[in-house]
Amino acid sequence: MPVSQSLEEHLKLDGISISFGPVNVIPSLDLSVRKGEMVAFLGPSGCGKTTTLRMIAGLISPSSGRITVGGRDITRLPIHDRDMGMVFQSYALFPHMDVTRNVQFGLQMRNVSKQDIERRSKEALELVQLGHLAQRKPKELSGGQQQRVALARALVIQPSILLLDEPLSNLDAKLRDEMRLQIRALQQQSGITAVFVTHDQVEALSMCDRVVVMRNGRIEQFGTPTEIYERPATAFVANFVGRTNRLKGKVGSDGQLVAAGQPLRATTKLSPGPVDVLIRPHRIALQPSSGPATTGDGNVVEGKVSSIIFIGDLVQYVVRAGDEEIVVEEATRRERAPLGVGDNVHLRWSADDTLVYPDDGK
Amino acid sequence: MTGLKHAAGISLTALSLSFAANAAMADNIVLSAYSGIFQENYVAAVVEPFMKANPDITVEFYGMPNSAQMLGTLRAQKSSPQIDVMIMDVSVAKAATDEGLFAPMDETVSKHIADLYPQARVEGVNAVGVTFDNLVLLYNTDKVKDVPTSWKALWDKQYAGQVSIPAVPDIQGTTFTIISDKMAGGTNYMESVDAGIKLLEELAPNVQTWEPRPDVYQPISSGTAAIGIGWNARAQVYSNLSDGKLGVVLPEEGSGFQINVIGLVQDAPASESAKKFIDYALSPEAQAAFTEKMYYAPTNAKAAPLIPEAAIKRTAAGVMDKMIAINWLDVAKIRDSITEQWRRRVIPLSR
Amino acid sequence: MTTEALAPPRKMRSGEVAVLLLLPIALINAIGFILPVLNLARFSFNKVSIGGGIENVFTWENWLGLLADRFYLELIFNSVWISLAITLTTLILSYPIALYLHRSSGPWRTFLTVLVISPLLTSAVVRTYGWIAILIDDGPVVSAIRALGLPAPSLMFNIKGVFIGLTEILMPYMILALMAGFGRLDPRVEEAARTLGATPARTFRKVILPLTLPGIALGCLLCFVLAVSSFITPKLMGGGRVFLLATEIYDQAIVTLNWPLASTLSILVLIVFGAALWAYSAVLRRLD
Repeated sequence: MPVSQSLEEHLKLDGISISFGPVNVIPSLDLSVRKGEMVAFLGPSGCGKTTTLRMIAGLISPSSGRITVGGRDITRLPIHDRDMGMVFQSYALFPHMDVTRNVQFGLQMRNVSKQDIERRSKEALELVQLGHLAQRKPKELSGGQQQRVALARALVIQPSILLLDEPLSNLDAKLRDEMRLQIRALQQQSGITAVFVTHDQVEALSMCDRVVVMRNGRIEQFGTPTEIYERPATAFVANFVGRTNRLKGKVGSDGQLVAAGQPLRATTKLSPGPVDVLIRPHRIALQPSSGPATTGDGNVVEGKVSSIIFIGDLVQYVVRAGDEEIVVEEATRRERAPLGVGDNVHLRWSADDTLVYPDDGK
Repeated sequence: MTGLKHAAGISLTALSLSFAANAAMADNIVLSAYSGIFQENYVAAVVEPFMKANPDITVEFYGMPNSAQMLGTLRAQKSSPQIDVMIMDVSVAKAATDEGLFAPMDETVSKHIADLYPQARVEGVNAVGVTFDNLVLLYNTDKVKDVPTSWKALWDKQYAGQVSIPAVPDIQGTTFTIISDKMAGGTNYMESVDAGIKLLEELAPNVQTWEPRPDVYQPISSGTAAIGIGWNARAQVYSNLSDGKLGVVLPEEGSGFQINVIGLVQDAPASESAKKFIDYALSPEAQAAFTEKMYYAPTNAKAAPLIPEAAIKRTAAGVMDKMIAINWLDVAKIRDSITEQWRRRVIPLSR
Repeated sequence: MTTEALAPPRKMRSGEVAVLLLLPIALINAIGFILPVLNLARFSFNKVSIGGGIENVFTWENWLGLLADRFYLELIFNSVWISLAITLTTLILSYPIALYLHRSSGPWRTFLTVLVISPLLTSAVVRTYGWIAILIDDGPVVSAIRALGLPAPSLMFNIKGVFIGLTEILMPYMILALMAGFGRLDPRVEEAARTLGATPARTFRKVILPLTLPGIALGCLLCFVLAVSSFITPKLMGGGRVFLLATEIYDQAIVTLNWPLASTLSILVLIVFGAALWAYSAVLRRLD
């Protein structure tokens, strides 16, 4: 039962910057996270997402800027006074303590009464379904179990913010799917504000209320998963989140977009100059060119199938159109006879699905 | 497998060959004595002239740092000795004799034995004295301005924390106990050294170290310590080498002898040549040469006239009457008790 | 030989391979260590005659004499507690260095590690003489203390000198052993403790210290054994005032020629080592 999110601002980063030696890793970063929401920091490795998380936790100090939680400035607060629950990529369980004592550690540091420690740690372990392994040492647990202990240990202290640093990257694919659901469920049940660092777009989109896409220490886009996917702010975001076809194009002085050797329609406002045209493969419909060539308000491009890759639930067609190769993905169906290599085809997609960005030279 | 047997066979053959070679070259003798400056000087003064006079015999000098190690080597080689002649401290030679490691020694080995001072012939030891040494007072000439004439200088408060004494169980400490006992009016150290121990108790607060290293001569030469006790022969050699920094005095109260004996190892491989060498080592010429070189007093009474006055003055040879007669075999019986008294009564007072 | 070589190689079980691989070292150990120790044990039942001659008999005299003599009881007690105190001091001084080294990285770490190990490249004798020059009564340290108008204690040729010298000589061993034992200390685990609300002090006590205990135990065992058996430093720096098992063994074996007593004391040292090893494994068992 999801707790309704408030719009109340909870965690705020204000002009945060940090340099390691001569390298300015994060030039200046502003971000505001609402109470009870789960925000993903998404980006390639080295983009500064983990660094930002560690600054929130206090494990490293920003060179300048302010971090506030609920209006309280915590920028210079020592780590142990920040009240953050952190889950590490390696879980970082205390190897010399059993599961129970790992979970109780944070409570002991907070001088909670003995009875409460017993009760709350027990509840936390039940919550992650590990009550039966309470006496085990970390090394006697599987990766997924360790992950859940780490989660229970971070949640049991009822921190003001839960920080997750790539918590799923050490798990196998199946377990990862399971843990995604479990973490999201726990976060929503407790209504805790959470920051989730990941390089996996599926994790970010599927688990989080909002996603921060980062590159080179800057925020490229901050928005809901739908916004990020449907209306990527930059070509980088569009490329990084989901799969895309990238065509070289040009906008003429008359405002007409041309790519793959023919005029195209787009809903974006265009200024003249070279552009990148991005189209997601599954938003393109594929028809034999013998069919009706209705144009409508969308785009139609002629091409020839140059290769077909069968994936199972998907089939990928690589279509040669002018100078470009365009990948089209279709869900596999029985009713239609599959196209063959060398077939002439029409590619159709809507003007809404034509994402146009000024050519950034990359 | 056969290969292994074969190899074993070869090595056995090689081993017996080397034994045979040892037997055939009976004119090669091994002499074992102290390494360091003793070896240097003894080879120059005695071994080389011997080899010159006996071209068919070569002497290999095998140096070891102390008598105990020599005894250990003798023990280890008991079933097949590699050493023919040994020069070591008389007390250790007694132990070696008791364990049957030395062959009997009398005039049949060397006619010179008849000419030795009586102190050089010790009942119950199959070896005879080859050098006499005596305890002396050492001082640093920079730190000690007035040349001391008495052991009492060690007790002088102005040298507090500057006195270096090699304590018991080192026999320098044992000798010094007997000297102290005599100074304090003791008459028979075999009965009691109590008077001497009492005197040493008064010395204790002055002592810097009871364990001078690497020996007592270096720290006094370098000025780490001001005054101390040591053996005459080495002190004289180091004094020559120290640019006048190390002063050596035989105090007026007299001193006690340390005796190095020479012995023939039981079942020595080169017995006959070894006897020849022992005979030479005890001869007046060899004795005189070594005294001139290293200031050990000769044990052969006939050697003294052959030694230059300058050298003899730096040994105890001229003042034999001042020497306390120490029977080292008797002292061995009270050594544990002396050690115990030092440890319980003397050394604790210097902490 | 040739026929065997042509025959198809028989597969060896891992147990056999282990035995085969261990055989050479077992043999070397048996000849180089176990036999001499047995010989030593036998020697401790021999009788010494006045002057040092050894009588090959079987007597409990040495053992009983040792246990009845207060001097030797004190000697054993002193050796053990001085070695323990030196071990503890070495640990306290080495621990921060080892921790810092463990956390540093790159060329800086290499440089520091070389710096730590470099004393081992110099003989303990040379280093001991260095300490004598520094700590002697008119040396720089005592002079400096006097210049401050403070009463200067004698720092050389007594127990203090032995203490200082041995501590410095053992520190590289302790640091290396500690670092070897710091493997379990993951910086993330410390960070986890900090984010869970532990102050640096509590993080140290609750997490760092327990996780480094194996290293501490190893370092202490090593240094204790080295301290008990160290002979050169106490001999050079003790000024003949410090009586320890190792120096007494030397005196009995080399000076007094009482080999049976020296053997008895040596076996006693082995027993002390055995006790230390037992304590070490007990600590490890508790940690696991």
